[in-house]
Amino acid sequence: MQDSTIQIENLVKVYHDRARGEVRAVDDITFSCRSGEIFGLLGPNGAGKTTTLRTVSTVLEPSSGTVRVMGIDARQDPVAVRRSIGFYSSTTALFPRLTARETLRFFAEVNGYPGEVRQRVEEVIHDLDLGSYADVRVDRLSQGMRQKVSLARTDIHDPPVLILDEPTTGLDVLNAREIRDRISILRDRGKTVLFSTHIMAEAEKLCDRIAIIHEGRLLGTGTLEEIRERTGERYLEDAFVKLLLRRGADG
Amino acid sequence: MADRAGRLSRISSVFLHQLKSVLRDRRTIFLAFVLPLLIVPAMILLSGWITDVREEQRESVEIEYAVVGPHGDRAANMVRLAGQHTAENDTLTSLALKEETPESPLSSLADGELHLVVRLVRSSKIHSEGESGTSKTPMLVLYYRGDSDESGWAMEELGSALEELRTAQRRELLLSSATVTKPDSFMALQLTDVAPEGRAAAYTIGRLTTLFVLFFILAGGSVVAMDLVAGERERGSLETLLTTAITRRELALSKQLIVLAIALAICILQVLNLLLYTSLGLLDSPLAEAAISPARLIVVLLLLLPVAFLASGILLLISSRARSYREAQILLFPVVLLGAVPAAAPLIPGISLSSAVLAVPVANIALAVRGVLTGGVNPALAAVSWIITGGAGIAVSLWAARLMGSSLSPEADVLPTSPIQLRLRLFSKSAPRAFLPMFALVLVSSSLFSDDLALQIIANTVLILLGGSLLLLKRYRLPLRETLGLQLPSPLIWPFLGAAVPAGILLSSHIYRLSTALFPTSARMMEEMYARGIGLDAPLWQLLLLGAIVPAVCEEAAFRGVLLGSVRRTVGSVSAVIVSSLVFGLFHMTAVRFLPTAFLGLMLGLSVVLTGSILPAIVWHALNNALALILSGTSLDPTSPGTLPTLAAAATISAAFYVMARTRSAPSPQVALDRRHRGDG
Repeated sequence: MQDSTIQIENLVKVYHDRARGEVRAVDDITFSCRSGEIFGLLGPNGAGKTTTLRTVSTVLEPSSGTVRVMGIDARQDPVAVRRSIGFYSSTTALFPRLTARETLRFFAEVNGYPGEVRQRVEEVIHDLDLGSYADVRVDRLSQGMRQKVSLARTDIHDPPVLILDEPTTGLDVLNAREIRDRISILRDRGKTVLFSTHIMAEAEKLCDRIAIIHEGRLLGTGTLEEIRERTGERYLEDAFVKLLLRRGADG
Repeated sequence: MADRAGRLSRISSVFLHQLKSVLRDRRTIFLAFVLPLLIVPAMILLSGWITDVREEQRESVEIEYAVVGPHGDRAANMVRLAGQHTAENDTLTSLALKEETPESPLSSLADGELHLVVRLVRSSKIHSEGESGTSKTPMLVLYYRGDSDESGWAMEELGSALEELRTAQRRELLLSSATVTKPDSFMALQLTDVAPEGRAAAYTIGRLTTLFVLFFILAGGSVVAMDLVAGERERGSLETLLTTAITRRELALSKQLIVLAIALAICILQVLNLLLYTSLGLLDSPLAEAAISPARLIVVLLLLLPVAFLASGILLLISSRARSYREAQILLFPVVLLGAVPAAAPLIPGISLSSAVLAVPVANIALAVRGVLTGGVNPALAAVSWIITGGAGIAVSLWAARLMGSSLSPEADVLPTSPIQLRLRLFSKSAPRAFLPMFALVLVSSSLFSDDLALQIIANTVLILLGGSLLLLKRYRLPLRETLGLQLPSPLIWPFLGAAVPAGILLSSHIYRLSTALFPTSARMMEEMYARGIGLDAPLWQLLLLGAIVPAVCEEAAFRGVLLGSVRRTVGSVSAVIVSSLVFGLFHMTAVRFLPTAFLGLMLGLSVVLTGSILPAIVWHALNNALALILSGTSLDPTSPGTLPTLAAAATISAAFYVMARTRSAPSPQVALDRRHRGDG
């Protein structure tokens, strides 16, 4: 699979929690994403989406299995992997006392943007229409503006892969819509977007392909059409429930 | 090579941007820069003012004294002469004296109606030239009260006036009679400091510099360090950084450099600040008279660099270790105290760099700095010190990098599910705080019932500690048995525990010795403590009940059950055992008992963590107290056991802990409760 930008094989993440004992947050998951597609990781809260994405971004080390990004093994060269991804989640905050321009410049430098940093920053500011807000401190921006800067920060070093963990969580309808539009634009520029959500409608609208996970296990992968075909259900929500029941019958 | 450039640009980018961010925080600036700049001179000015006021008071005191004994007239005369002498002599402060004639002078002194009582003793045949050899020197005895400022001043003033008078009289005698009959009785003493000008001041500075610098760095850098990892972790910007192409080590290093830069800036500002106040004449500081050459100053600064680096690394380590900003602040305090210990090395008499201290980071630099400022230091030893302390700084930095990277939990969206879990969570947050009012109450009750030990024990342990603990459990509706951990442990542990009790007493006798060395306790105070503590006249059953069983049950429920159990959920087992034993020590009020009690708490806490139950701790505590009571009644004195018994005791206790760990059947109390209620949301 030459054109796979992200390859995840038999990924397992076990961790020990003092209150809950041993937890298998991710249990033998395999999937891969291609460039120029939006790949959605769909599942309820606590399904293992965040764990999977954090493992891809090398913040967590897998208990077993392999993660490859742009052909690089995440365990062998985590820094090279992080250089080729942009990671965003509802918990990755910005530095409140830096301005939008400073923030973008900072992350371009830290991620080792190969070209002229200043030029790239101005480009992105123009592209996102941040203009008049570029020199305002992040903590004085509105929630929606902050989200925009955050997304710009994720893409500032022009990585081939973007990993977005529940990017629309906590946003109002308009802001969420803007983020979704932005994700589509990034895909159209040839990037791989791996993103997670628990909102079925969002996955239906946005994703080229979907992986459904529940309690750390993969219930199914495919395009929306493929999943519909396999389950015989029109709506993703029904398909999800059907897959869940089928899994239960298997086990 | 290309990557080295990349690394430098990453580090400098994080450094510059985060520094900018830090400097834009007004609260940080105020806490780290402005406040210390105001506080230090304010403190110095205040202490100067207090000294002045006391001096003034001292000079205005009229010394009220009485004379006793068979040679009263003679004594009174001498005191009057001394007073006159000070009045006639321009260089002396003249004394205001007032003789009183109370009925019983010594009891008036005790009641504070008099400052001094004077008695002349062993006075026979004074100035008896003819009968040389049999003459006895008169001796004036001044009775004063060490617990009264005025009486103490009166003693010093009159004492030195009498001394002056004696010197003057002798000189006159020497001048009037050409021959010196007894040279030794005419010897006058004069003390002259032959140290070069400023050297004495330099010595003071030399001994204290490292301690002060370390203090400034820890105090000034802490606000920034706690924010840079623990604070950012809470806000989420740490996670953002961890997903960028910077390595953990680069990140830790750049953050450490920020702490270092801020701390050094604060340090330099402090010194400049002091110099400014000194040069304006507002302050007297040894800095002004020390006259340290610029070359030496530069060497000192170079020597102190690794100390600053290490200190900022330690701050960062705490910040990385803590799971929250709050926890970081809790961890900070004991670390700052511990950090001061090696920096105080130059204060210990007779310690030198060419000893084992060379291997102790910070302590070796502190000694080298003292050497540079007061004379000389072996350059090779100084260089080794520099490398050792700098190496420790790098090691700490790497450690912090590791902790920083492993700080994210796999799932962000895991929340407690059942109501009892939520209550348990609230309980573990508020229970430790409840010990503050309990401490205040114990303080009050101890002074209220200071003369009735039985009442004091019942009030402190039963009402305050046990009562407070039960109230907490009731408030959060938690089951008594499972929250405190009252499950029966494996029966196998009891014989080992029985052996561990005397072993523990033996080990703690070492701690006790250390403690009496640190907090000198007068023999009388000890006797008083024992007399009050034992109350040997009480029947044995009463002694054992009040001295052993009641405190064991109540204190274990409070310190090991409630405190250890709740702190453990937020800071982990090791820290919780330490914290609970320190608090346990603090509750015993006296400085000399703090360390031994904390040591006992350490062992008891460990037994709770290992067995998952507080029952072994209750039994251990009770047996420990009972045995200590019985031992103190006998002549058996375990205060200085030899090496072999000590090793045997340590082995016994280790064996007991080993058996506890191996036979453990139940998980820890509150953890078990939490786990059992996991499902029912």
